[in-house]
Amino acid sequence: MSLARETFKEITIYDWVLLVVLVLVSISGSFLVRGIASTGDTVRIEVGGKLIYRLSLSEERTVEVRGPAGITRVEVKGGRVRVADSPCPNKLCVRQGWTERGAIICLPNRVVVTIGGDAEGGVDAVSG
Amino acid sequence: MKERGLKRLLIVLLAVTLTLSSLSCSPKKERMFKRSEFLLDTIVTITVVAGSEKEAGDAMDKAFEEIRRLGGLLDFFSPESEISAINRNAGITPVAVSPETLDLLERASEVSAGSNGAFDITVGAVVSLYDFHRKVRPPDSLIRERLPLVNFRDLILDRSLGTAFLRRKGMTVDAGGIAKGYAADRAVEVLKSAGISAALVAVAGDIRAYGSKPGGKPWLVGIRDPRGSGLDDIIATIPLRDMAVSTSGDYERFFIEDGKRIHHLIDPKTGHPAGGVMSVTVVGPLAVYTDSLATAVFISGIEKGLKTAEAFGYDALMIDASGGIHMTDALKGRIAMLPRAKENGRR
Repeated sequence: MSLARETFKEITIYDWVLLVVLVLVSISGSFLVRGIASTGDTVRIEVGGKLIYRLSLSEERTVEVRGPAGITRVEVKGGRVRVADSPCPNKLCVRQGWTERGAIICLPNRVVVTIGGDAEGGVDAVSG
Repeated sequence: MKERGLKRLLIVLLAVTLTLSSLSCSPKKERMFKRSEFLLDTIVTITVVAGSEKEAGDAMDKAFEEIRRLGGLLDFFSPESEISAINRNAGITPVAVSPETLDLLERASEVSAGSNGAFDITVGAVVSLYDFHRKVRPPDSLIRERLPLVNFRDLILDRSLGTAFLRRKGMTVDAGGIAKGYAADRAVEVLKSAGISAALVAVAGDIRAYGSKPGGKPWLVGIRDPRGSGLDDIIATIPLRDMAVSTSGDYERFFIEDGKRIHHLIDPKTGHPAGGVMSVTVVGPLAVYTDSLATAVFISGIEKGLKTAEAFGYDALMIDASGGIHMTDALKGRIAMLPRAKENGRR
């Protein structure tokens, strides 16, 4: 009998189970690695460079973050974000209103709200 | 017995090979990593292309540290900075400064001379009379009184001694209009030394980028709509290949008084905000020049401004007070103007 035929005769069920498990593990590995992609519907809220909240743009929520000047309130609703209130003098961040892309920054309170991940067709930075 | 062991070995080998091949199926792919910090009184964002988070993080640590260090030397508002030492000793004595500070001041003088004083690092004596927060504009008599203290030629730099000296008491240097670009350039040098093949450093709106994004695409930078409501209202985009870009606008620091816009880009010759222009974007090899030239070109007005940029070998896009677009020839194929989202009728 050839080695091959002999081999197949001698393989037990446990061997097959082992093989299937190993194949499944190796396939799932490639899925896991690919899963850490940047999505377009994540809202990141950072204060002083530290990430405080990571929210989904599709989930209605209001959060408050504390910066050196006080409390900044951020709202997510209907797929958009806005800074509802902030303790800065000019309230430029509040006046920006609702947006579904890019960033809203409150410099005096060190708050940065960013929407989406990397630019795909969008820009990597804005000069101005 | 031996055959059995051999068969087991074959199956194990097959399974191991499958596992190994799927792991190496995702090879060391280069990805983009982004981090922001508050430095130089603004938001600094660095994006790098690297093979691992560690590689990116280590390089970004060094780059941010360099910007922090420069901030310490150049901060107008910090008594310990070299800029403050120069200002304290105006009309008194030359001050010894680090090579970086001297380098920055030399370039500032170069841009001043080349723009016929449109950019002047000593303009602070007059700009400090304005308060954009409290909406205060100085009377013309006070401006006239202070104008003699604005003169870049009175900043004496001695390369051999490594000193800087303001000739008259009451004069000040403020690196605000050039330090951000300078810092962006230095950060890029640090990233390159750290082995990063591609990166974009944005010190607020002063941006320098090199290399390409994963997939070979160039970095894409948006230019802010001077009358838009926020940072994502952009009016044009430009791909950046080993280039820097800076924008100066009348919307950065301003207030409206009697229907007139009083903004922070003060003409060093008149002491009043320069008119006729809403924003200027300068593109070229180094951010230290795009930063300072953006101011120089703004204050020079449309015709002189474009010529000034070209004289330095840089390119400019100017948006005049009516929203009209002007640009140097070389930009005419590279900038993509986007349809204006908002009507331009506001002051």
